[in-house]
Amino acid sequence: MRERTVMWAYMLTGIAVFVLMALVGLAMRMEQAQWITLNAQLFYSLLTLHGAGMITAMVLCGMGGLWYLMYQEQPMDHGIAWGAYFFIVLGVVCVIGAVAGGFAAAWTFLYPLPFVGAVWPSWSTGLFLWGIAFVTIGWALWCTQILGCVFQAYGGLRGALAWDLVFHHDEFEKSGRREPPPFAFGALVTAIDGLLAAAAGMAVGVALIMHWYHPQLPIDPLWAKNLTYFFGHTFANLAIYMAIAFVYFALPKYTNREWHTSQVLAIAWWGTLAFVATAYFHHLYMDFVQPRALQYIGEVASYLAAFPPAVVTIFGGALLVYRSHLRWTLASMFFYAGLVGWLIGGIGAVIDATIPINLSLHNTLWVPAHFHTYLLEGVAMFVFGWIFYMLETRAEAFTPLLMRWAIGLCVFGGGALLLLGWYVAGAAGVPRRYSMQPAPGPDIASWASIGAIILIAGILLCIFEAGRLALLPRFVPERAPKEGAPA
Amino acid sequence: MQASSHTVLIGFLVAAAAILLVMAAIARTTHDPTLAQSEVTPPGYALRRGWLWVLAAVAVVSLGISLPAFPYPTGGTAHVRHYTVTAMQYGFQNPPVLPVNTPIIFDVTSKDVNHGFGIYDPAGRLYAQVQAMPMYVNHLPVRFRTPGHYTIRCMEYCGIAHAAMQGAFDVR
Amino acid sequence: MNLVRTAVGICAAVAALVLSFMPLITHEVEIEVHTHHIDHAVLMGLGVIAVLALYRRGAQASSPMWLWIAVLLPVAIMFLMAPSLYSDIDPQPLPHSLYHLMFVLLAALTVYAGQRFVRGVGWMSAIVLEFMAFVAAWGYGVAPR
Repeated sequence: MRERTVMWAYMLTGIAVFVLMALVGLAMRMEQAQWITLNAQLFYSLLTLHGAGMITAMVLCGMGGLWYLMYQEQPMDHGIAWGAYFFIVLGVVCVIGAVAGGFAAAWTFLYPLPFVGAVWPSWSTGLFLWGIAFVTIGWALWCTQILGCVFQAYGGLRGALAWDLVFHHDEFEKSGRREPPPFAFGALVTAIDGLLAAAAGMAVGVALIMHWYHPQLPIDPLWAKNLTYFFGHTFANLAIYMAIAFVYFALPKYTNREWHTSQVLAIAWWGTLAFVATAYFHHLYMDFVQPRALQYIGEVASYLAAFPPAVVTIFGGALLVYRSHLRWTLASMFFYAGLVGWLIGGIGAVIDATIPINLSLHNTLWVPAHFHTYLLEGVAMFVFGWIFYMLETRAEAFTPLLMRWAIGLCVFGGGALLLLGWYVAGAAGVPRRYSMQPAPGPDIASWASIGAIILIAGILLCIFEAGRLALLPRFVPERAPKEGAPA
Repeated sequence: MQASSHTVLIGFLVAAAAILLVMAAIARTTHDPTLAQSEVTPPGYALRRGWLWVLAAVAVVSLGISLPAFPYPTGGTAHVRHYTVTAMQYGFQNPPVLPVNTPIIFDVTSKDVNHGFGIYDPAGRLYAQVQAMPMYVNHLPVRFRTPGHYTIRCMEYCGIAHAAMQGAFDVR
Repeated sequence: MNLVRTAVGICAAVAALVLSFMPLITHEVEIEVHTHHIDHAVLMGLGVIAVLALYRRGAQASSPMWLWIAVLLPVAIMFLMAPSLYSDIDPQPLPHSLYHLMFVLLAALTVYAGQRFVRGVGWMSAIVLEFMAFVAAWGYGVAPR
């Protein structure tokens, strides 16, 4: 099917970038452990590449899979999906080119970076800015197409929100209309909040590009900071709200149970729609010039954002699994583990979103601790789960127990060691984005690097196993013989 | 302030361990006799209501405790002594000596890009911080209770010498 | 209800046209970029309201070309809003007015394209466009006050 080609193009590109960025991440951690020496400009170029690349990789995987899922609900134009893919890949190429040219301003650089104090050539700044712009355009194309799909499939915004299911339940049931399946809420929320994030990203991105062309163009740094974080936080956060669609769709198949759209689920996603867009203020807690009301909104929205996942989705997933005859395969293992990772990462996030605690944790390694927990042991797990679900159902074949244990120990054990390094160092006050860390940073980075190596070994095992499953013949179910036909 | 970070870490690790244990126990039940979904959901939904109330209570208590402890300056700071701090690529201009056990306010700004004014106490713990922004002044109220040598580190990526950007002052 | 919508749409369209040509009427040259951005955002807003109020086509999806227009035009508009691009034409009332008219037409086309793509999407296009247009007033070519 051509739509599968679209899905695999997005996901395999995302996985390829993910693996490369994992190696970049390992290099950085080893530098911080003082195992290897990288000069500061190279370190920060790699940091820039790693941040931009990893987020884009995870988002690409989510986009591909969710597009495929929504296509089953309402067919969509392939050309737009390919167009979005093209813009994102073009953006990634530009970012790689910029970093190769020495650009080292980090992916959430704050104006007046990357202009003031730049030791990299000006062309690399322009190339990076255009690269991010292209990624944002590709994202906006995808979001708009998905929004159109959701509106067509369920009857506008009202239908997509399941408004009538919630407020006019009896009439809705009698009407014979179909409520959106759970994964469609992920599509709707990602499309709407994704477009808002894209708007913020384009507003500040265009201003920065024009400043690059006309350096006399003034830009307000607080304005730029707000828009940069609104774009960056929301874009990264939406990765998990896309990827959960995989779990909604596929985990029930392993439990032989149903995950249906209830009034509670619909209301929970309404909450996510609002809170994901308003939580970004927690990035500006230490900007005391920020209007005070926005700080309060940041803390409240950050707390509230945790409720829908914790109470409805993760709890719902656990309930689905409880006393079910769940078949443990790599897919179901990754889906379940991702729910755990999301919940643990969420606790780390909510802690940091508490302002008096943020005073001691802001911009320490606690920040990468919690977002790596979400992204590595949340989003990536859901993505791996989806890929193995596709491969397992294609071949009706599963991974042997020993290999599952090996992968699990490496991915979860190595991952836990890597993540623990950041939490411990962050609590000890070690700042983030330091090429040379003060004590106890280097010692912690040493054992965290071991964790990263083990984790990467697990990822390589996954790639090997995925390759093995992909090469197996497609499973074709036997047809029952016709009556009267020879046996 | 940093003692609270260790408490936070321990609290987080305890919560993470509890989650792991509970989720592992749930996973284990897939080897027990299977129950139909219709048998599991009613008590499950009741448990979910309880879980919601527990989380809501934790959120409300946390908000209630954190609100009075917000670090932002409130009105009536004119009588408090102000000290100017200017960050720049790659160092800090700050007063060399500050008074102990006295409420003070740092007026923090930057000459070039965004920096972070991070204060580490004599034991190396992150005591307080605020952003140093160009074209803006952030006011950080602080009271130093321990005399000694304090280190300043940059807490916001500001360029390739970000990790080497340091300052210091003494509290007497 | 249709009558009210039509009236609103026509009034918005007329207001957009008239206000676009204010430079010709008042000969005022705006100095502050902050205010200028808001003026542009209001003009575009009127164009957006006109299209949303007057759009009448059914809900069937049409050519993907409309999606490309709905997504790429706001980006182009943001570039055209750079103060450094129009500072030279500001003191000239006719080019200044035509620049305003261009914003109105591009905004209207954006929202029309969104609605043509899939009915309802035009509203999101409108939100995206107006968000960018208004938010620009607080930092795009504007130093802290």
